[in-house]
Amino acid sequence: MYMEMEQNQQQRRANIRLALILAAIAIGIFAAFIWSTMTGANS
Amino acid sequence: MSTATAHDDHHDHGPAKGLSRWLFTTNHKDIGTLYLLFSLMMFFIGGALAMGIRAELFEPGLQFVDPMFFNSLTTMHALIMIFGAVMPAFVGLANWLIPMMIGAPDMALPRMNNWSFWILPFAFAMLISTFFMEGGAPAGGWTIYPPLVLQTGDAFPFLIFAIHMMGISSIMGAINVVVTILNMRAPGMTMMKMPLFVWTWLITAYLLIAVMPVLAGAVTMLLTDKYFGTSFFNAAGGGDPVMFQHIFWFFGHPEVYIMILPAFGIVSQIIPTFARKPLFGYSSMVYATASIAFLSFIVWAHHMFTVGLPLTGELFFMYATMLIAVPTGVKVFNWVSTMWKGSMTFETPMLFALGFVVMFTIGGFSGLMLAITPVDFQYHDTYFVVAHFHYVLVTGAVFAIMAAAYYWMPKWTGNMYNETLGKWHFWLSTISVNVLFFPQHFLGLAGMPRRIPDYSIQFTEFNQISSIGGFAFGLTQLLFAYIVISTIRGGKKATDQVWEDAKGLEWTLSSPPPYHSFTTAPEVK
Repeated sequence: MYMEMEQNQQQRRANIRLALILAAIAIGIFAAFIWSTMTGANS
Repeated sequence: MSTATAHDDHHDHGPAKGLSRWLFTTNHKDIGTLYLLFSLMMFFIGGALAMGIRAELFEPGLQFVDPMFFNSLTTMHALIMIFGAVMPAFVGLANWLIPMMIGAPDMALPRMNNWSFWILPFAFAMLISTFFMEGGAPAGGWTIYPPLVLQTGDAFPFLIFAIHMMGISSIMGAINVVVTILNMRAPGMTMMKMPLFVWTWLITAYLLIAVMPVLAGAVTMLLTDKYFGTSFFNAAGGGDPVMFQHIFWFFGHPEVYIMILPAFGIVSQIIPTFARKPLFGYSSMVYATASIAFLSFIVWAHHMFTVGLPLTGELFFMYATMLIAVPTGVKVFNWVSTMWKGSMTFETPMLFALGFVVMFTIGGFSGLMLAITPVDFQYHDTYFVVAHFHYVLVTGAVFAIMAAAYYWMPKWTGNMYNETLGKWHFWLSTISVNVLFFPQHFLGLAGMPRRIPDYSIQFTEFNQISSIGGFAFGLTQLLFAYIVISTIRGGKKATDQVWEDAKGLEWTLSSPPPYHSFTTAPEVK
């Protein structure tokens, strides 16, 4: 890619792994809030 | 602290030409520039809406707009300024500065970085287009409380989708910041050697990842309540509208710190440079930032004292809120101590940083007053609250962004800005912003409610003073736009160091810096 700095494979993998963990945390929080509000409303 | 500036020119291909450079760029500086220009544009659009608000409030009675449109003005002003101006400005600064400050060639996830930015223009085009829809733009306040917000016309799903897009953009930006800081630091750049701006952004990014999904959850539930027959917040169906307020403010209070922690970082970079002394209490600044971030999660209900909370809850949230004054006080003490016996000079970035320290503290004190539960019963939903959060967000966050623009603009463009015009910009802004917001304290104490287009005649004088200040502040910002444009176009050449006592890796690069900052990692001692 002419505009992109090259990252070595190991660095790239580490970056993507951490990004996926953080994204999973974000999605987990989203789901947890909807789920807890749903159960709260029905109880 | 730093030494090496070796660059491998072989890898420095330079930018592509034309529109494709900006559309497809994965370069942190290009994306930083896009964020900053987008933010400036939103700042003027949001500012134009504020001018409409102040024009209507110049006199009692209805002058220019009908009440419904007035409510749209206040709602859209807030949404545009928070999500379109302040937050993207800080993300733009993060993009420009974090890789240069930690000795990285670029952000860790450059393509996601491009996505994070380009989502925003679509989100805001959609949000602003609601002005032209049946039923008008959202008018229920930026806090989008049900059941009021569910009365929004055709704009409602567009509002929800726009908020989702802003949230996704923020989360992607935050993930990029965390990964860049944790994985891409130059050898020797330990966590406790990182510049304060990097530290405050790392903590801000964690806040964003934690709370933006909460807002996403809340607005998704609003959407299903309106269109899919659920009753999350509908009392008639077994739901609870107050639950929305809890969820919203669980997001909303950390959001306030998302807009102020990077400002703390900026001021912590600027004051040592112009006081010609190292920052006083570096590690206590880091711990204070982390403490403020932690406390921001346990104070949300101070926005809801009047909804009828249990007494124990009110006491808890009152004391927890007051606790925030401790780490914030540590910060103000450290900034003042940094200046103590320093060889101070007062260039424009320093003036804005000093303005920040003084006026943000005024906003902090009025916040402390609002934290006192029985007192809040009197102040709640009055102009006192409006005055408080504008001192925090305008003379706080926006002044810090201005300070950052003047401080790093010579590095970014290679040109010095016009110092005389910069000082004019500072003094005119400082005088007008106080004329604008200080009288609003008195209006609030006298009982003038917020979010109303008309008011009793006893509030007239203070409203007129406030409006004159508002128009003056708005006009003054055109001077800022002129200074930015003229600095980009030319001016006296900046040195690499720019400021005599500036410390940090970014100042070891040329002005303007090469397209790829550190193709060979610098050594940090």
